[in-house]
Amino acid sequence: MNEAAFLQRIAARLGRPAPLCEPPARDEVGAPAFWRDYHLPMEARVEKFITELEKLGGHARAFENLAALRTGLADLLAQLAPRRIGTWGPSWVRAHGLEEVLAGYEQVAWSPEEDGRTVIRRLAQVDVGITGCDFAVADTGTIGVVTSPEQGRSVSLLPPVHIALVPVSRLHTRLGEALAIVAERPDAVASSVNFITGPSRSSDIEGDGTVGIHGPAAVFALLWDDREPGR
Amino acid sequence: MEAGHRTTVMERAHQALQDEFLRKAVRFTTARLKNNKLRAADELGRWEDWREQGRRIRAHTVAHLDYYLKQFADNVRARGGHVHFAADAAEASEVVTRIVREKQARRIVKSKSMVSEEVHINRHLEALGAEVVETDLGEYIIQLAGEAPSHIIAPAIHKNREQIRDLFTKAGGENLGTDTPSLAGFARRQLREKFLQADVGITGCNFGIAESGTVVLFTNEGNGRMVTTLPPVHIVMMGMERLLPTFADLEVMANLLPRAGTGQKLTAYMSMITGPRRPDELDGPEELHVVILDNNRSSQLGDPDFQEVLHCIRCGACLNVCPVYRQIGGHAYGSVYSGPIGAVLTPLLNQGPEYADLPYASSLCGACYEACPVKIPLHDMLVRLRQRNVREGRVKSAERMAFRGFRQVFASPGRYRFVLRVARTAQRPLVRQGYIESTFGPLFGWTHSRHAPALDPAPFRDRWKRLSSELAERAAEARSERTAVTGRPDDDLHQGRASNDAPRQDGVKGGDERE
Ligand code: SF4
Repeated sequence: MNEAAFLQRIAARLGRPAPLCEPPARDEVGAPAFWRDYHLPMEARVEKFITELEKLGGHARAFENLAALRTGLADLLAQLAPRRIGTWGPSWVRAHGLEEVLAGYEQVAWSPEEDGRTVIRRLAQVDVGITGCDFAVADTGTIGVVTSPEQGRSVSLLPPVHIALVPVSRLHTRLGEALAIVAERPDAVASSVNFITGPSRSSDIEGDGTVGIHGPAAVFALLWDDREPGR
Repeated sequence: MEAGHRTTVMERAHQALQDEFLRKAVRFTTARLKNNKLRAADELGRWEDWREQGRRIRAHTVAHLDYYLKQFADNVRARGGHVHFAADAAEASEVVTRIVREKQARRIVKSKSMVSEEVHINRHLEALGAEVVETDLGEYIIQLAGEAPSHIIAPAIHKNREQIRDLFTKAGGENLGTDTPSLAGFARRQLREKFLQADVGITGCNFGIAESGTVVLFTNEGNGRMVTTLPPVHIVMMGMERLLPTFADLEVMANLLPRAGTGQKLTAYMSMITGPRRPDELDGPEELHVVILDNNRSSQLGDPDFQEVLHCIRCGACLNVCPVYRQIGGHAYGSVYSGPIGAVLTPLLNQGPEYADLPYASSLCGACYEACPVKIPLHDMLVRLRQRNVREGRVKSAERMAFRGFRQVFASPGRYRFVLRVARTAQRPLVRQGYIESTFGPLFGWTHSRHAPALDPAPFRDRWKRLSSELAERAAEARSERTAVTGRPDDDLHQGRASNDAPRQDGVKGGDERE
């Protein structure tokens, strides 16, 4: 059916001679006012994020600064002992100074220079995917990742373990705050924005919960305080 | 269920009631989902305010669907996606099969989509020789079994682990145990390869954001992400009403939908897809198609009795609380949508006699309305559909059976006393003007109507026992759920009986008087 006829039918059913082309007035948009007032100070926010993620079987730890986080990441990787590690693009790895931590492992970096199919096939073989985080939500223990040429969707999806590095400056109280950032430029939203809340889950076998059915079975969030200047 | 050899909802319910596992499994799962939901709603706080906000947003969107649909479509195209409008199921499947043919796609992966079930897309695609794989674990299981989903949120609710093991063994699994990790592990390995090889991915759409042309998917397993990340072509199939004006509105739905459906604060994944992959991106589809389906939805617009059915966000909460659904399971409804929402939506989307009996698969107890996160007065709509049937002189055997059963209960003093006895154990928290009678009236009629001569009396008595305990359970739930209950004893029961066939004018309605 053509679009005009489709919309015309809707308009007619709604009692209009032609489809509406002015934005309709709205009295209230989005969350109730009391919810929009919900705002946790940073310390409580970090705590809430950790509590919520751990409730879901995820793991979270906060570090004082990026250097401490790197040490923490090195320890975590030593425990996990992955054969291969996937990461967001090389410039992201450099910006976080992760070269040394990752040096001992076979790596698949997400790089726009490479051939897509090949990178995906290789990434499907890694044990741990390490990504950044564009916004995190304390209320739900959620990690938000935005797709870009260096930030592949697959890195947080294909490996059985996902580690996200979360700068607290991007940790918000409510989901709505993160959505507001996405909505700032509605004409320029990224191709894919994923909000990840704990490990992949299913209860389709007799209601018995199981993790990691398609996405990662384990999710780690490593937070660091990126607010202090002069580091 | 195919046209041509259709059975009535009564016959199907009858069949379902013979299946012990189904009944137990459905009740177990729905109880779990329902209790999780109550806990989650409680934890969030001010649930009624949230519901009201949800209702308002949905009402505004549906009342201005022409505007938001155009805005959404324009924005999908501006981001490089293609938009297709389909007046009915045939057009929708034609669009999808054409894309698949043009791409010469042989392998198709799907993430759970009710609309794709509604248009029976798998059948059309398989007719082209394509392999279509459902990748939601529950959907994968029932696809291997060749069955339809029996619950919106938990499609394989009726299968036990032995049955699943047998299905997986047939699909190539070797020496599989019946423990969850072995079964899930097998599915993961099988499906992982399917994702990586797929030519086309098909998903539904929980919400389309009009201001940006974004498709939002709420999933738990991650298959939705796989399907929108790996295949080179992504086809979205969505009902035309599935829109929200802005991202700000999405926050409300993100608070309502997962809580109402499964009691989660948020599903494991909320994925927002806006257009195909951008230049220099290595994953995500090169092509994005959005198929927008009417299929009689527009006929509900402007109809004061039924427009609100388009507010539905497909959370499944009404199924989990429905005493009838919990007795008979989803398949008895014989349609893609089951439970209270199915009993309303299916006859509206398929006008004519075929599904006209579905509104009788309900006890009109109002639990669905109370569970609904966007406050759709489903029980009122069920009554209106019954009235419509009567008006159109369409009184099918099922209806006659239901009413006959009902009359029999009250025509025979013995049965009436029995009714009262059952009622006494269950009623106290339920008794309220216009409440209890509608719980017992048609439900009794309905249960009575399956007391067919073919059944031997023993299992019937067993089922009676279970039904009573179900009602008692409902009562206990009502006790904890209800805040404002006017406890009035037996006389209400009697009084209510007369009003049973008439439309209900009492408190449990979609209006504002509840809050
Ligand atoms: S009618 Fe309400 S409760 Fe039922 S599925 Fe739709 S939104 Fe959920």
